[in-house]
Amino acid sequence: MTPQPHTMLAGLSRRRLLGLLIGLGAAALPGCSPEQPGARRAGPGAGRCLSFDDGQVATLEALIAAVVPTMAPYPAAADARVLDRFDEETYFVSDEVRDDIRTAIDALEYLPLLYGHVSRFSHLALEARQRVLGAAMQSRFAVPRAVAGSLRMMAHLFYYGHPATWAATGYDGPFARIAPILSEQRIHFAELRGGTPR
Amino acid sequence: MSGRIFEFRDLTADATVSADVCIVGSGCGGATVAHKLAERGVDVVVLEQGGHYPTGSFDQDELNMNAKLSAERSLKTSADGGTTLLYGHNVGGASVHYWADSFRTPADRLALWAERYGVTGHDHATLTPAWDELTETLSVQEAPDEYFNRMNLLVRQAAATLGWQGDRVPSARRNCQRSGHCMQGCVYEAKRSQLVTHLRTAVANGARIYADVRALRLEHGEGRVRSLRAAVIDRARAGPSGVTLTIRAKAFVLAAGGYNSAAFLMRNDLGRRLPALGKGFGFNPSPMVHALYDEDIVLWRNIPAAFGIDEFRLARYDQRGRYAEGGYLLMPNQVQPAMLAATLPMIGDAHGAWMRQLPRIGSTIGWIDDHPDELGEIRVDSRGATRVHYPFGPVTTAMLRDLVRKQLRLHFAAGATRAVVSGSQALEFRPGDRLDPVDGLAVTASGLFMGAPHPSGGCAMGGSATTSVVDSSHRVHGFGNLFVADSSVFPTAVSVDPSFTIMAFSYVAAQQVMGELGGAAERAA
Repeated sequence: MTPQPHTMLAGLSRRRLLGLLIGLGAAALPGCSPEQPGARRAGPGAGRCLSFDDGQVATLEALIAAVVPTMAPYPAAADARVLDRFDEETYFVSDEVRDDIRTAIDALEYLPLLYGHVSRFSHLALEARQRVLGAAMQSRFAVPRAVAGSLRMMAHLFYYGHPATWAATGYDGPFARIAPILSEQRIHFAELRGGTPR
Repeated sequence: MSGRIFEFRDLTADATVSADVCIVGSGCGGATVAHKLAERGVDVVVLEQGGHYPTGSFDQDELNMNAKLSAERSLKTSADGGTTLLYGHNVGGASVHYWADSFRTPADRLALWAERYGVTGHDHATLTPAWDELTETLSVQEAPDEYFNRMNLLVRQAAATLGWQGDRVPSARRNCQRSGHCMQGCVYEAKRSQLVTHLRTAVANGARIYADVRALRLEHGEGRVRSLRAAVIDRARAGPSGVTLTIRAKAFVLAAGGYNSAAFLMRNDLGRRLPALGKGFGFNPSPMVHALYDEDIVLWRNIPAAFGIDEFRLARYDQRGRYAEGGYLLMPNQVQPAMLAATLPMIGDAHGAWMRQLPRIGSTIGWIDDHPDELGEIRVDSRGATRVHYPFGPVTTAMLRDLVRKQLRLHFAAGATRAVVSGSQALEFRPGDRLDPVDGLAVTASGLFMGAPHPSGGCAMGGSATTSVVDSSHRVHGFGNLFVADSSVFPTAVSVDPSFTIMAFSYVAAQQVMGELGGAAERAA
């Protein structure tokens, strides 16, 4: 009896499964070579983020655009600095958590292969990306569900955590309207990026 | 003599620190032990790997405060990638961002621990004086009417309609401003966290607290720990500064918390001699259901849980021993807007449409009582990283689905017009809908979006070194002067919020440490 894909996959650890997905995806798609998750790739956008390489940034931008609302009166994801917050939060977690996040982003890039698209996630049109995310979140298999579910959660956490979005939701802001008190890490990260927090 | 809080800025050169007792961790366990020892004149040093954020640095910003107070910025999950591990990383530990629920350990749970696991000296009569004192020290009281926000009122009304038993929640707060920022740290010091209670009195009595210091290596031999090597963390970079401390003490108390203590002992190569290390681990997985109401709920103000439903605290089984229902506490939920958004499972404009109605969104949450035969395990991988494995066994899965069903019933009894299960499948219901789809609900790997704020086990207490890690004196088996005082010593979950149990157990631990110091003095003489 020929094993079904899900029974073959069931015996693999989550990390090995993610690695398999990334490797198969990179091998299957023209113009992509298998790389170590999280490895830095030089390119036109190199240096945009401290935590992610250019390919991961492209995947994240595609994810963020697919999950945040486009309807009025919501602000654009860029106004809520979602990518910046992804970068900053990931920068300060432990190596293993950072690796998990990067691996999930790499896996997301090749997730469309499981849903009939011979394309990377970042190359799909917006509606197709949303369909892939929806299907992955509904999946009975753990890996697509965890990848899509966890990255979506982060994107929404960072988008709605930004004051630019609060008026659209009716949130009246923190109770005492205290001016933000930046931690040492927020100040350090802003210095590294040469910009300002938020 | 007054002590002091040292931070990374103060620790610029390698040093050796001497004390009677060295405590690793400053949460409910470590802070309570420090308080009890310091008030008796013991020279105490507390190490905390997180930063010291005084209440004046609390700005109530959801993301800013999460980054300051929450370990791994709340981005670390169980090994299946699904359940978020919530624990503190700051002076005061998780108590600074907890809800302050302060339940005395149910008598049935203490009896279970005594009868099945051989725990002695932690019965209700022994712990009651500790709880009585803590009730005064931490201003514990049942929530008065003014602490009930609209969600709490609706849950209380719906529970009465459904005939479900519930009570006002005892919590540690006074002069509450009802800001709703318990989880961002209470700038008003109304919530009586360890930061503003036990650690303050400990320092006033001479304790020295070293923030930004990560315990690394125990030096031990012949059953006694002689010293502990620790690394100073540059808080801005979140990495070692290169400065190391060596702490010499007569006794060492590990109180690094349920997610850290077992892993610390494993990294110190004690796994082989302590086969139960890391095992018997529970973390109270906590599914949520969000719902829309025809009125404003304003979930983000006032205290999180003034009222809780304890009708289903203990699981019920049929005559053949099969799971029937229950095994959890069911509470009103409080999440600030960004976390609510993160746990709403839609995407794009569908998500935006829900969030446009934010003031009218209500929420409930429940903490399952981890089934003692389906507990998980903490492991340390080849890089030294902690991995939390949790099996989500058949009874656990059934409990979670039953808890989701009960939350849906509660919302509709409270008047909700739509409800959505907080999980990847985005199951949505309206009043009168059949709840059958919940039977097929995936629970692992983001099937349900769950936080896990209440770890237990990993250094379980018991009589045998083969089935437990510490004995009933809180000593690690085989050691005379190494103690554990946090939730990792619980043989199972507590079935209620564990903070008051941790503190009462820590009273016992402090007493045992005093005995050890007396023995050390005798040995020295």
